[in-house]
Amino acid sequence: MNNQFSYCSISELSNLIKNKKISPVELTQYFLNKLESIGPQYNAIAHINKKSALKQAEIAEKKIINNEYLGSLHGIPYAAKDLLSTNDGSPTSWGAKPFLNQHYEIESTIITKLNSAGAILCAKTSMVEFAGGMGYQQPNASAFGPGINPWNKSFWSGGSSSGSGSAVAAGIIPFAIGSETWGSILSPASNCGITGLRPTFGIVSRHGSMVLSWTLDKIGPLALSSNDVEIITQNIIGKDSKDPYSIENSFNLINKIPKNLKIGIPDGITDNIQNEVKDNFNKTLKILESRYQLIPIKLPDIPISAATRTILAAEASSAFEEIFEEGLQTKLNAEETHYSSLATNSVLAKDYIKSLRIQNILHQQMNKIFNSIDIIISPVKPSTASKINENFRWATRKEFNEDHPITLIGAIGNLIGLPGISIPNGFDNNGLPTSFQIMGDIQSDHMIIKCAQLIQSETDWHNKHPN
Amino acid sequence: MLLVKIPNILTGALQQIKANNIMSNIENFFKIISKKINYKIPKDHIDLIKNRINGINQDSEELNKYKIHNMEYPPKINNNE
Repeated sequence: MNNQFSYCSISELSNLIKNKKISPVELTQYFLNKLESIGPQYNAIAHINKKSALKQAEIAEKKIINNEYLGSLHGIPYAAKDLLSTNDGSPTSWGAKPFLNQHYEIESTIITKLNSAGAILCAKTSMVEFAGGMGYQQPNASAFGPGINPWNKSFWSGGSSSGSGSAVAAGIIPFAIGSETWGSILSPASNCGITGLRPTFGIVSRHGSMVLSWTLDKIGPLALSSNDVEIITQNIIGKDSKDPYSIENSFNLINKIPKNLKIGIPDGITDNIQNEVKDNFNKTLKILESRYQLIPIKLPDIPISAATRTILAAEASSAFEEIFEEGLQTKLNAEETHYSSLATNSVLAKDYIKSLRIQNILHQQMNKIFNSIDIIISPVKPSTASKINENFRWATRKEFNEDHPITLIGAIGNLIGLPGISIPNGFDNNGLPTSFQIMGDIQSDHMIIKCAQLIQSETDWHNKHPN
Repeated sequence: MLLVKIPNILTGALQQIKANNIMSNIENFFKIISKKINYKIPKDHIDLIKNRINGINQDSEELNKYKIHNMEYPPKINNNE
């Protein structure tokens, strides 16, 4: 099979299009073929928008012929997580069986922005049911089956943006859009050995997206490299009057690595984690350590994970109120969530409010920490991808190692909306990717992308792809 | 002997109060949810629900342990008084 455009960077594809070496229609047809023939192998695809994609590609092609070049994303195919509504006739299923034929007449702002930049929406990617909001405990929690890892089909691609992770890693789409409430961009990026950005809360509009948590949801890109992530992010940010939570951004103001970058490294960050994750983290660290100062930091000692879980549960119970009333959650793939998800209705109002106050306190404490450092680094996860048939049981508090600094960093980043980027940094003995995370202060998205670019300029992990 | 037994009695009593609170939370939950839904919850899912509620209760206890002053900061002590 012809693989000539799989794993090309956005810049490479963009140059081919700009110089008329390939037309948007040809490129779109290439990736549509890949999505159709290979996508099902990874349960990566919810819906392929063939007709509308080719129509968009024709429009993009006419503009190129008329020398109306829109920029780096002009003519570039992409996929979007199936919680982003489109008005092109394709369903928006939220990964859930009861909603396989759900259609909207509104287009998500992020889709509008990407389309305006000339990118071609080819498919909706599969996802965990309701973005994991029901409290799933194992990978087969999707109407489309468990996300399969292109590196090893016995392992999970991660969630809840499972299909976005698989599709990019499998080379069947140049980039995809995912979402993260707590881990859902960085986890599949990590498991699948690709680059994912969880942006600062509010800089990417959520208009038109399914809500799991108003306080925690963010939308962001998954791609083959931090260079690609930079291009995509430039095109999807912006205050949106249709999303009351969206904010102005300073993406183009803070776009360099500070000369005297100070790198915060939490105490105990590599304790009790998988050996290969630890070894690869330390190797990546050396690249930064050779240039910049490492500063040990202590993460705040407040109930961050409890607060994040409480907010998530309370808001999910409201977001899915109609679903619970109609009993639609009893039709989901993840049987363990059919009735246990109702427990989210037991969160006390005072606990929800306390959690929001803790969010505020955490903001203040992290502001103090960021007065003396610029970024915080860690592995994204303490271990590589879990098996397809493994019960990882995050919903059950006891089994969730919430005291580990890696877990705390995930909770901190998501509770107060800090940007984080995951980049691949090696493999374990099973050939599964390990990953490195850079987290920054609010609005430092571009700076952490630049840090990731520095590492990727000196390593080759992002250029390794599954056979 | 008496001094050794008292902490055990207190610990046991506290554990019983905690267990009673958890049970009453679970009972309350089922009373509330039965008003919100008109479908039955199968018996074999009850333990899964209780497990989730226990998790929510544990988070509640953890949040309760962390005290926040009404105005987020403790009051300033005026040393001149």
